[in-house]
Amino acid sequence: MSGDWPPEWDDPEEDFPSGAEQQDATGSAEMGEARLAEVTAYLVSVPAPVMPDAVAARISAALAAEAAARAANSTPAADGTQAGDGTRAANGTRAGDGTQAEAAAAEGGTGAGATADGGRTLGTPPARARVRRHGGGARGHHGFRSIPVKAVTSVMAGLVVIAGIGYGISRTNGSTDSSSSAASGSASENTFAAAAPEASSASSASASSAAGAGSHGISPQFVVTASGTKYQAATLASQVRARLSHPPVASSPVASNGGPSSVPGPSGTSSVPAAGASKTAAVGVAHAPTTALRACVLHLTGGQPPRFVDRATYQGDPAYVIVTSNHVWVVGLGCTTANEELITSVALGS
Amino acid sequence: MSDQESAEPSDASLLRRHADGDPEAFGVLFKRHSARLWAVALRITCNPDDAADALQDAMISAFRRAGDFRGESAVTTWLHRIVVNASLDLLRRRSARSVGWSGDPDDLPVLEPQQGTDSASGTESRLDVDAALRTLPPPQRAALVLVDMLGYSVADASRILGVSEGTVKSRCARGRMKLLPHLSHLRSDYSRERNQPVADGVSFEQEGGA
Repeated sequence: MSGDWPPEWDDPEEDFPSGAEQQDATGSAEMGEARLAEVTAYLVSVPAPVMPDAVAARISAALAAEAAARAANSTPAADGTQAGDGTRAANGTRAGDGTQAEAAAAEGGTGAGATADGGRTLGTPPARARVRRHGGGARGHHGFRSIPVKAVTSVMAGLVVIAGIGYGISRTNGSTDSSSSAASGSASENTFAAAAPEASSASSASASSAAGAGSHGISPQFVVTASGTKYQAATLASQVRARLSHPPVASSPVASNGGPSSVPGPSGTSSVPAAGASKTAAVGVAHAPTTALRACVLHLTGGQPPRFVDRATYQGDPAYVIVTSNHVWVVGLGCTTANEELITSVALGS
Repeated sequence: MSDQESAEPSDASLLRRHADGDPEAFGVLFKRHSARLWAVALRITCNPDDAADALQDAMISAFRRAGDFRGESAVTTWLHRIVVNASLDLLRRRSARSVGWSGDPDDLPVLEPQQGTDSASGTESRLDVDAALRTLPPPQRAALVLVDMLGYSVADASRILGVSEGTVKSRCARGRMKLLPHLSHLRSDYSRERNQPVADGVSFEQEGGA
């Protein structure tokens, strides 16, 4: 079960249940299966223990503390729903009153301490006893992972923006229109990205709906971009955060119909091009989702309009990347409500 | 999400809602499965205090790692697996600090049962079981607890323990062999009730992969 446990716990013969093992396991003729079955029958007859109320309250309090801590951490980046629930997370626990909440905070400290050690072993369980654990240690690095990634992402995104602007200027050979369009495109994207965390789902929906209605007249709640981004498992969250924080620079506008066009309008719907408006080259052409895809997306997001849906590749395979304010799903191209073809999903919350 | 989920949200839905920021979803999930998770932790650790610690560690771990859940197994399997890992990890730490244990599982001392520490343990036979379980190496104990005491199928247990079904069967068989001398005085009491076969357990995977 675990490759990390003391070797003394391992039974060297347990992986070879055939032959002598089976003979041993099933017992000798004298003992027989019947006697072993009696053991089983007896064990089955033992009533299951009941969790003491004190333990239940203690764990509930610890979870309440975790919820409160998560709400506090995610408030700046959370959407209206999550941020608004921060207080409820602290008070709306099974533990109940303020006294319990204080106890929860204290217990949470204990729990965190315990998990710092447990994180190594409570990580993604091994597929096989002797297979090295992968992806473990997330607990112990929970706080570490969130803060530096944001900082690094911000710095990198800033550099990309600056480089993009410079590139745009050089490419247009002094054309102030193009360079300013790149800048304005970037500004509008950033405005959208900056405003989105503060906006409620409703505001995102209204923005998306307005743009979608303008572009195709069928009022989809979102559109699907085709950025061609090569998402990787190890960097999925940071790639998504980077796009959310700093959407691609409109260095080379491409019209949705493939021809040249003017720059994106400063409507704040940068990731959702209006009719006749251009889409940045990095994001690619946006289009309305198919009915099946739209249903699949809204099924995954619980009806919440996504921040963006990107047709890209994940680990080299074509996939849709569906992003809300705090979650990312990667699904296959055949995603439907009945069959999501879920490849992976990660939380962006903290 | 859907109408049916609003009435009785599935485990997967609750976990997804938790990952999306719902502050109450995980609590509902914990309450739903707390009894069985507690049983797993208590049976493996054989100590209520350790079980509480292990279960708390496990729940906090699950709380934090919900976003990593890939839906490749049922949520219950995932939760049980975390609890089993937490329990074994705690025992591992305990054994690392223990003095006087040779490291041979067969040399594990038969610990004295702890009276009154388990609200449900009031009978002599129950304490006999507790004491007998303590003689098993934790991996065998975990397999036996899941399959024989909690009724999980071998397939479910193999997923929870992260080992092959053959290994689960082997551990269970070996565990039963070791328990037999300890429980032999109780066999007569139960031999008449033993009409049902050795159940591989009732599959609890009702979600079909979350």
